[in-house]
Amino acid sequence: MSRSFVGEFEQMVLLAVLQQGDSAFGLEVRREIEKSANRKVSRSAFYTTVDRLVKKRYLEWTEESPRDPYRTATVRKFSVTPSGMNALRASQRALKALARGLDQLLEEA
Amino acid sequence: MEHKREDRGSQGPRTGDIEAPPRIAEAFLRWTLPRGATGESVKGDLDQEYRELQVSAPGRSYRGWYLGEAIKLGLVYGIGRRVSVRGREALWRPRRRRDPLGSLSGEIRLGSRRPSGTASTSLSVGIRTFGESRMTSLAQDARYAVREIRGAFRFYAFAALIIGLGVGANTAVFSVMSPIMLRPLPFEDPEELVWVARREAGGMSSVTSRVSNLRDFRAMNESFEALTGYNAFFEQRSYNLAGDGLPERLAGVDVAEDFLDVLGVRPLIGRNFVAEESIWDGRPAVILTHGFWTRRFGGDPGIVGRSISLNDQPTEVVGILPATFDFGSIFTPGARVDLLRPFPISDETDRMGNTLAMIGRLKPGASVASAQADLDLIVSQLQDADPDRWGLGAVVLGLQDQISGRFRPAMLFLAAAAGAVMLVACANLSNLLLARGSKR
Repeated sequence: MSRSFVGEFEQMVLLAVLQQGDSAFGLEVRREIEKSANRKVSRSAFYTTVDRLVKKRYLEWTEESPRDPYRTATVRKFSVTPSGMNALRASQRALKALARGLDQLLEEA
Repeated sequence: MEHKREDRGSQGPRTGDIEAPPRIAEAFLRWTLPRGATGESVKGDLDQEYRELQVSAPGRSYRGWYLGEAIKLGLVYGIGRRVSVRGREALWRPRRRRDPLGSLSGEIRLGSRRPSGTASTSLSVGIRTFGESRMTSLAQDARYAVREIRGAFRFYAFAALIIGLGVGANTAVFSVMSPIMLRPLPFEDPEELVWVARREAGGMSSVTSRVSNLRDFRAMNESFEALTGYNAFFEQRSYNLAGDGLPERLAGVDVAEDFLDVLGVRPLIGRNFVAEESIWDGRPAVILTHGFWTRRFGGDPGIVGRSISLNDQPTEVVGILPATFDFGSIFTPGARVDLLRPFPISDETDRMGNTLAMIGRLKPGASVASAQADLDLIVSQLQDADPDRWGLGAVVLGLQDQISGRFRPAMLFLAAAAGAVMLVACANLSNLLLARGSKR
């Protein structure tokens, strides 16, 4: 369990994939992170993280036909694997445990 | 997100309005991105964003943006991550593995190319292309260099400064030497051009001639196709440019009407001086040098035919010199020249004294020696006709020899000095590297 933690940006990617559900395509996932986290996400950092998560088997993808009528290239639809969910839960639990009792301090910050 | 896609669709981006991505960027992506669905989808995402940007702000070009994004992606996929160090080592140590058919085949195992998705094919990649491994090596070298520089920034900044000084000094000297000594003169048939000095050596007023000499030589010679000249003392006068923009003090050379014709230089835009402009108190006109034209007027061809104010006098810009003809670097190295003005070959200018630097173009078949003999005869005839006439004399030299010969010793000395500076820089840098090496 202790080895199943994921980094901050990895968590963001996994959560954005979950948020997007059936529309968890690369571009949409990146935009979801940018919108929710209110920060610019570089394409390189995003794909690097995605590929790392795929390599760790926390994320998987299927090849789908593009929905955009002007797009001809393949799109990858991402989904979080069970081990990815476990890692995400573990990381979230750890964060919550560490933040226990610090609500006031964190809110003020 | 679905609704967004529909919105985009309803905007109806017409494919005809969409600018294609830069081909070089696409080629770079093809080279660096992984083959298959991963690479296709990554490029597809980029293409989609590129198209959406153009739809959201039509009329703007995003080709630069696309190129930048492609480079970043290429650095990540093609360089930074595709082959891990372990994988790179494995490239040279193929592991023999029994394939499903039972035969032995050489296969390279690449840690970063493990199966990565449900739709991905088996990614036990066989052989990396030469380009990829070369790029990876280059990237690793580049990353190592960046790490090194960040680790000892002051050392490398100082090293760059030393090298920069050496290179800068040599570049400066070479840029002066090149047009004077190394390159042929940028004129038509430069070997036919000669310099007609009054005496072989001496100061400027010893080698320049009176305007009356030019007129008589023109009338009496049999060796020259044409003789012309410019006011060698042009630096004594400056021209104040007023009007649009900041006032500026300009340097201008007074040249005879046929000066450019004799050299075989045609204005880039506009025309040469005409007779009405080349007489005493004639219509004011200037030809701008290419450098001044681009610097002051941004290369606007519309300036030709317009009037500018020089010394409070409206003066018509009649032409622009070509970039290949830089008067200053050829005839007066170190002197800035912004414009040419007509120099009348008249009694008024003759009274100015020995002001004229004379240039001639030899007739076909004539040589420097025959021209010299011709002018010697003319000079003696003129002297006989008017024993009180002063300032007579003619020494014919090849123009290239005259121009490079005057500056050759100084140029060689400068080149040697710049070379010495470079050597000193290299020695200093070597010492620095040695000192740093011993410290480590």
